[in-house]
Amino acid sequence: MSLTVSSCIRCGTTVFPARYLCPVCGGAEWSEIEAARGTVTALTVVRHRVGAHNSGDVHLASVAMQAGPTVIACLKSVAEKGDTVCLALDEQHRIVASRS
Amino acid sequence: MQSREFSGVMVCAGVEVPYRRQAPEGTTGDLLAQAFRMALAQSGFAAKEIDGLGVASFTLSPDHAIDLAWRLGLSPRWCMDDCHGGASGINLLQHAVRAIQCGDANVIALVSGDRFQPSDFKQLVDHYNLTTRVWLRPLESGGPNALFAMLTQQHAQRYGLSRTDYGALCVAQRGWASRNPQAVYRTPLSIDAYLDAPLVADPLGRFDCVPVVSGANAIVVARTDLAKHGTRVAVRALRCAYNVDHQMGDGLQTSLVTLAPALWRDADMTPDQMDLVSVYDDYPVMALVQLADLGFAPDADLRALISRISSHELPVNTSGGQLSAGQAGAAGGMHGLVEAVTQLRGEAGERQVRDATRALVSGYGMVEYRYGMCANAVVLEAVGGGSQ
Repeated sequence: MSLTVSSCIRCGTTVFPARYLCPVCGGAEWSEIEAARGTVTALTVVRHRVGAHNSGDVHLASVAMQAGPTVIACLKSVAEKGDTVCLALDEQHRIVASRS
Repeated sequence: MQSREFSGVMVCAGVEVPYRRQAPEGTTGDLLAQAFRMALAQSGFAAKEIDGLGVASFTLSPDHAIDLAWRLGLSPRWCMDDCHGGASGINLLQHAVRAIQCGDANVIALVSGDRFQPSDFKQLVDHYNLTTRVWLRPLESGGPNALFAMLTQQHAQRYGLSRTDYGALCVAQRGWASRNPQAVYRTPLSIDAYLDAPLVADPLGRFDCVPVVSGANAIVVARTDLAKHGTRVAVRALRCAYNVDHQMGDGLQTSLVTLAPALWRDADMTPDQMDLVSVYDDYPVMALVQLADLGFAPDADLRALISRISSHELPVNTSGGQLSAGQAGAAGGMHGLVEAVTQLRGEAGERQVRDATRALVSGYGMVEYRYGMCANAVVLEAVGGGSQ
C-alpha cells in the first residue's frame, strides 16, 4: 500500500498525520498525495523495550518525505543518514522504508 | 500580549510521596490521597478549607478529579482534570492562580501521580494518543526512547556534542541525588559508568532514560491573606505555549523559545538571577534544549552551559531530577515544581541551595508524533521567612 500525506487545497501545506483544519490557513479541504520517497535524517536501533524480552532489535529511521512532512519508519534495509529511501505502508500498518 | 500579574496568590506547600521502583500495594488513588494529606499538613490548611482540586494522572482511570474529591471528602467549587503529562504541573498552576484571583476558589490542592506496573506502562506508551496508536505502535518502537534517541543524534550533530556531553548532565544530577534521600538512584555515577551502560536506543544508554517509578506530588495554592505561617512562594511569571510548530519542525527547539522573552519581561528578571532551575528532564537532550530556549546558554554556547551545570555553579534539577529521582508518570510534570518550592522554603536538607530565593521551572511533554507539543515555564520567588 502506498503512503499518503494530506495537502491543503487552499494553501498547499502538506501535513502528516492528517488534521481536521490546516494549521497554516485554517482550510478544511484536503487532497491526498502519494509520498513514495524521502531522505533519512536520523536512525536508531531500539535494543531494549519495556515488556518485550529477547524480541530482537528494531531499526527505525526518521525520513523527511519529498512531499514535506517527516515520518518515523521501520527500516527494512541498511541505510545511512542522507540516503534516499522508498516508503510504503505494509499490511501491519507500519510505515516501512527501504533503499531505492 | 501582556499577561495579567500574579499577585494575591501564594504556593503554600510542595510535597512528594516517596517514589518507588516497585509499584506499592494499593491504587493510584491511594498515592494521590497520601500526597493530598501531606500537602495539608505542610500548608496548615484543614481539608474543609480546600475548595478547589486539580488532578493529573495517567492511571487514575476510571476515576477522575471529581471522584477523587469525593473520596477525599471535599466539596470543591473548582475542579479540574489535567492531561498535559510533563507540562501538567505548570498548566494546573496557571489555572489555579487565575481561579483564585477571580474568586472561583480560595485554597486549591493540585495533585499528580501514577502507580505503574510494567503492563500499565506498556499500555500507556502504546496508546498515548491516537497518533501513537495508529502510526507508532505498529512499529513496536517501545515508547518515546526511540524518538528522543533520533533527536539526540540530530542535536549532537548540529552542536558538535558527544555522548560524554549529555552524560555530564546525568552525572551532575546524580551528584544532587546523592544528597536527596528520596531519590530512587543515589549512588554517585561516573562518566565511565554512564558510557559503559547498555544502549537502549542508539545513542541513548540506560542512564539517559528516566527510571519509571510509582509516586505522587502535590502543591497547595492559596489566596495570600489566607496562607498560614511559614515561607510561601509567589508566582512572578507563568507562560504556556502548546503546538507552536504543529509537529512540523525538527524538535530541537521547544515552544519555550517563543514564550521566553515575554516570561522574563513579565517577571522583570533575567536567567542569570535564578538561584536554581528545575528543567523537565525526560532526556538530557531535552534539558539542554529547554535551557537554551529559555536563555540559559548565551551565544548558543552549550558547552559553557554544560560546564556550569556539571560544577553545580548553576543548580539544575537539585532533587536529582527525573533521571535520578524517577518519573512517576504525570507526577513528572510536578516533580520539578515541588523541588523548587522545597528549595525556596529552605527545606531541601543536604542539597539546600544557599540563599535560594528565585527559581525557574519548566514543563515539557505530550509527544504527539515525533516530539513534545507542550512546554511551559514559571518564575517563582520566596516571600517571607526566606530560606536558610
